[in-house]
Amino acid sequence: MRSPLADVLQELVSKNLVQRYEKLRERRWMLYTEGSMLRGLASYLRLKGARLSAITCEETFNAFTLIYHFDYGGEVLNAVLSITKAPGCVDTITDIYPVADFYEREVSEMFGVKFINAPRTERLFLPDDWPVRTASERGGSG
Amino acid sequence: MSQRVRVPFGPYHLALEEPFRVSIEVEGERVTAATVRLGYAHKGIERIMQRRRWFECLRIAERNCSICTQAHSQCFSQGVEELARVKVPERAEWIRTLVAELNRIESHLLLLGVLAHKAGFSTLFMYAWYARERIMDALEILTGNRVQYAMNVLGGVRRDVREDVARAVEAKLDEAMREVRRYERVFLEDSSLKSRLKEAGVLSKDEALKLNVVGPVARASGVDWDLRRDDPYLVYGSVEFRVVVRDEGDAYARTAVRLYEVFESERIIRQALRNLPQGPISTPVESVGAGLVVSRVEAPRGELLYCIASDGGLTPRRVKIRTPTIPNVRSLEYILLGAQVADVPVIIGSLDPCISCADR
Repeated sequence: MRSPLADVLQELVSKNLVQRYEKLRERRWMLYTEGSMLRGLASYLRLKGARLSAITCEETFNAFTLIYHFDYGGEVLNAVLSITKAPGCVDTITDIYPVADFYEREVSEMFGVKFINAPRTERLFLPDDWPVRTASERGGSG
Repeated sequence: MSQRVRVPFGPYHLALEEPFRVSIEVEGERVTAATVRLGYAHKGIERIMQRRRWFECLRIAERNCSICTQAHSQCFSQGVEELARVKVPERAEWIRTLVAELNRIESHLLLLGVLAHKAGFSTLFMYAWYARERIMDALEILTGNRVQYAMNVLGGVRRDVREDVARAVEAKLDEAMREVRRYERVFLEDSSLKSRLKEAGVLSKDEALKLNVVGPVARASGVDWDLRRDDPYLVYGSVEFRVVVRDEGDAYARTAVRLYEVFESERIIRQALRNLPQGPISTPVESVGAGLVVSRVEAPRGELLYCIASDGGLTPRRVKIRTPTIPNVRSLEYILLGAQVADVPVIIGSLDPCISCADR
């Protein structure tokens, strides 16, 4: 039996896994979190039966915005966090959500973000000899 | 003790319709390890879209893939319409649903034919594609195109459906479904086909949930999840259809789910043709506002997600596309373990991977 979404959101805030959340529209939520909270957030949502749909990365001047899109019974929970380009690292969640392996490797190849403790780092989309810039090479003082 | 041998499957292989690589390790006839490599059809579409205007992006989005073109078109356009705060006219929503479901039948019949071919039943492959041809005729009558329909415009649809067009589409649908009903039993009960598909590539419900597979692959493993019902869009909230779910989790179940989904799509199409409301077919989109939207549709292969960010300018700031094939091919690394080498093409085929989509 799935817990009501309102309870899940409340608990995420009370467990300090999310700083705050807001409703964008029907069935769309933004959860504002931090890199240090990510693994706890993913573990909690996995336990509650949420699916990981995708990871979006967006590059700004000196940071990356990562959005983890979770599906919780038809509700989309977009967990947003920002990481600075120096060092441009965030913990992997592949051990929690095996499917994150492909999503993280794509973000890593396209943006140079490093996923700490990621089990696999070989190329998935780009050719093996394609010169991918690291996060710090992309500029920004951090 | 038998020796472990590494066998490359692809990127170019007779058993694959599109280029991707599955490296398998075998011991005797059993697969002991599998790794997937994508990217051989990478087009950089997400980056290209950041430099094109919104209406141009729609045409690029639907060119991600020729088989699920309407799903991409719908997912992108409904996201942009949300940013532009535009309400699509009801008639346009029904027409979009009509095209989407014809597209689903076309896609499923394509796969059913391919799967029959891989299982060594070429006659059934021809029958399935004969029916698919009738659906493509219907799409041509409806949209003017057989593959890239380009039916959606931002704010509605490009062409109206006149009464005579609706009747012609219905006649083509009748013709196609007559064919499908003729070989329904062959797909599900033919002993030689069944022996190739039964217990091949089993994915249990627990594994399906753990691996986050989507669409018919998930539903064939007992995961009752379909965005048309669970995150409704277009007019799916007001049409009757059943979400097809099976428990076996093997290639046979994946085939059966797709076959029965063809009948459910037929139900939706008939309701759409009967209930098409009167009214305009598009609303002008003057400008696209700033913000971030996450748009999802149930593509023929499962959940398709677009994350679109806008600054309110003429082009998107970022478009992220997550296609259903990505989680589904990821699961191959688990599904293939312990399989017979000879079953690998059938198992890969039963996941219906769309590599053009996945690579973007």
